[in-house]
Amino acid sequence: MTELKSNSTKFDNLVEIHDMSFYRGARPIYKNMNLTVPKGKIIAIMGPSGIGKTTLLKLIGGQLKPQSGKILFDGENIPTLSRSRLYEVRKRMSMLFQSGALFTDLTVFENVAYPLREHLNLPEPVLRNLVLMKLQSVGLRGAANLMPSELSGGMARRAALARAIALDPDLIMFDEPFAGQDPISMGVIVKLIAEINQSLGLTCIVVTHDVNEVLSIADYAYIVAEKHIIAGGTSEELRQNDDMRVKQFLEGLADGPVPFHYPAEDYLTDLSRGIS
Amino acid sequence: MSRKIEIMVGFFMIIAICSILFLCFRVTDVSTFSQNSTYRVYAIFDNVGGLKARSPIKIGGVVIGRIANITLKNYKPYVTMDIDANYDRIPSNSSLSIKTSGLLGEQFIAISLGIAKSSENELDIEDAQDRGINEDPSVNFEEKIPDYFEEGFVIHNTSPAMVIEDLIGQFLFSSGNAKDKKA
Amino acid sequence: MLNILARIGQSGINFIALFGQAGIMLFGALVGKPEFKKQFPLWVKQFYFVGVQSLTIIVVSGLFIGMVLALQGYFILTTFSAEASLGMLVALALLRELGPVVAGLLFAGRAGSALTAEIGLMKATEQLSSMEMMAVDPLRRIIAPRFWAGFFCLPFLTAIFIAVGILGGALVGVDWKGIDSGFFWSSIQNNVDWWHDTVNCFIKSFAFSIAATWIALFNGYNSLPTSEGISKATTSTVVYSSLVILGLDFILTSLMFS
Repeated sequence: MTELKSNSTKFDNLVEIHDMSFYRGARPIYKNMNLTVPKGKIIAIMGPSGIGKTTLLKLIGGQLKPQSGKILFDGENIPTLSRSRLYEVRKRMSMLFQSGALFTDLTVFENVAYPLREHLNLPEPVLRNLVLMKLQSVGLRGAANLMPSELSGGMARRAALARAIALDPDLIMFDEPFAGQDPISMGVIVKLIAEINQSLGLTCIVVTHDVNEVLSIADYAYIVAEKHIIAGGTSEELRQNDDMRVKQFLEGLADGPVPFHYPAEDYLTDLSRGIS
Repeated sequence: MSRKIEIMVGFFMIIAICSILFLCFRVTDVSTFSQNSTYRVYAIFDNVGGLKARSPIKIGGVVIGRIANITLKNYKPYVTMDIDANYDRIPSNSSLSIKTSGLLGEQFIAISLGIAKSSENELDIEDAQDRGINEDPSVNFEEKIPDYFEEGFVIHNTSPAMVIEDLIGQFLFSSGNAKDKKA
Repeated sequence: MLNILARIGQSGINFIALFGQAGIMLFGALVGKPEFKKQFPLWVKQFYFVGVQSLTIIVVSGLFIGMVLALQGYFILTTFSAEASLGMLVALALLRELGPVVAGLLFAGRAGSALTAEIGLMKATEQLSSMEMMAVDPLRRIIAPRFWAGFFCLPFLTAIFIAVGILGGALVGVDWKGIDSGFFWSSIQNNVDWWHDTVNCFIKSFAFSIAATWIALFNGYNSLPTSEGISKATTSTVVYSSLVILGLDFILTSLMFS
């Protein structure tokens, strides 16, 4: 583990994306997109729904392959890695899915223990303490023996977070961590992300469209639209950005560069057709 | 939870193994396990009728083997038979005939035993059984025809199947002839 | 005309592509260095879900099919006063056709659909993805134990089905209709051949178990991660595995008994 950590100081940026294009079928999702994620920072990636933000995380995780371009994780080009090397690299990153994606047939304790059991050969008492420590850090030590179906949405996400940090990765990717949460659990998750970043020095990529929550903790934020990054900067820089698209997104205006109306033919001719 | 699952799986395996054993020993005749202990003889018939591969071969109604396959050789039915190696004392001059079990039943090959040559000689049967036939120097003079059925032996002493249609046809034909003569 | 031809060609290509994907899935799941220590508990668990939980339906339907077969056989055979062969009729019918086929169809309906739904749901709730991100291959952890459980359980279930069916036949024939139990069992023993009937029965059963499990797993793995996608995948598992079992049965029977 220490060897991996020292290894990772060679590059300043943990993730770099160069000229990456990704098509789903014939439909382009990303075209020539560039992105850098500096080490030890919280990076927010924001954008309207359906723009492929989750796809971006899957591209970084190597679950999808881009048609062209490079995705460097700590200097290694993810799309060209061999299968076994990819699995090695994945031990250093983890992903918190929108639904939490806890294994429904295992208890919370076993869920957190799962990556440890798979990759490390720890004696049972050590493993137990390690799992309880992870659960304590997300405040769910008392829920260790519950099944995932007995947890609320926010608790499930926290349990999944405990599982995501179980292997002490270098990078955590959060896929919509705030979606569908009540204000309290949203606050809890915001606090947890900030804590993980500060105390463990983990690099975090947070994909979201909850602007205010994420800008309060993010060191740097990108806005994705029209198949590439349209703006990037600290939260202050973004708020002062004059681009109409950025303004519309950050302030939540109903109409703007992203039109309110889905493309359709002329309204009047469409209506008059019914009369004639 | 896990312990209960293990017990149930063990229970399942035991039931499955019991069922397999039941199928092997209660449903299947165990003696048919031993496939390899057979020897192969051949027979040439004029007509095999409804004989099929896997039809039984019987002596006095007891199954001693099965037909492996039936082909044509020199345009005559050529029957390959597997006979249980326990029955290796069938005299070589025994004759084969194709019979039908019941009126409509399956056809099978019946072997009517001939008289063993060795018993015609001064040797008695008990004595011959103690000695291997091929190693016996006293039967060397009859090398071409062994005393008993053995691997690769070809039987010519056969009678064809009775085909009922032919019999009826012959009967009608002959009775028709009789009428003609009277007229 | 050309459109029709193009459509046929397209569906042919799609089918081959799908078959290739299914093959790659199975290859990825089964090939690789075995990890018995990690796999064994998973195997036991899947044996429970696939085998033990199908036991009830197999035993009950085996019993009834054996009994009804004996009853119908009895009515027909008495008209030839051949009721002594009832045992043979029941045993051969079960061993040669009904056992492997009906057990296979029940298995596809009971265990196959459950496997598809389970894996489809795991995919929909991103459990498979998250496993992959934890650097654990879901093919090895999820697909492989389920495949082996299905592969071994169906022949086991078939053996149980046939055994129970024959016992059910004996119940009707011997205890109810009063056929002499010696006649009943000896007609079975004299006519059932070890190689020709019993071994072929298990060959069929293993072929069906590969087909049914494979189809079930692939449909789940390939399902769209929506509730509609899962219900569609579950339905097509039952439909396709039933059709494949019946088709394979015809092919195997014509190869074995010709």
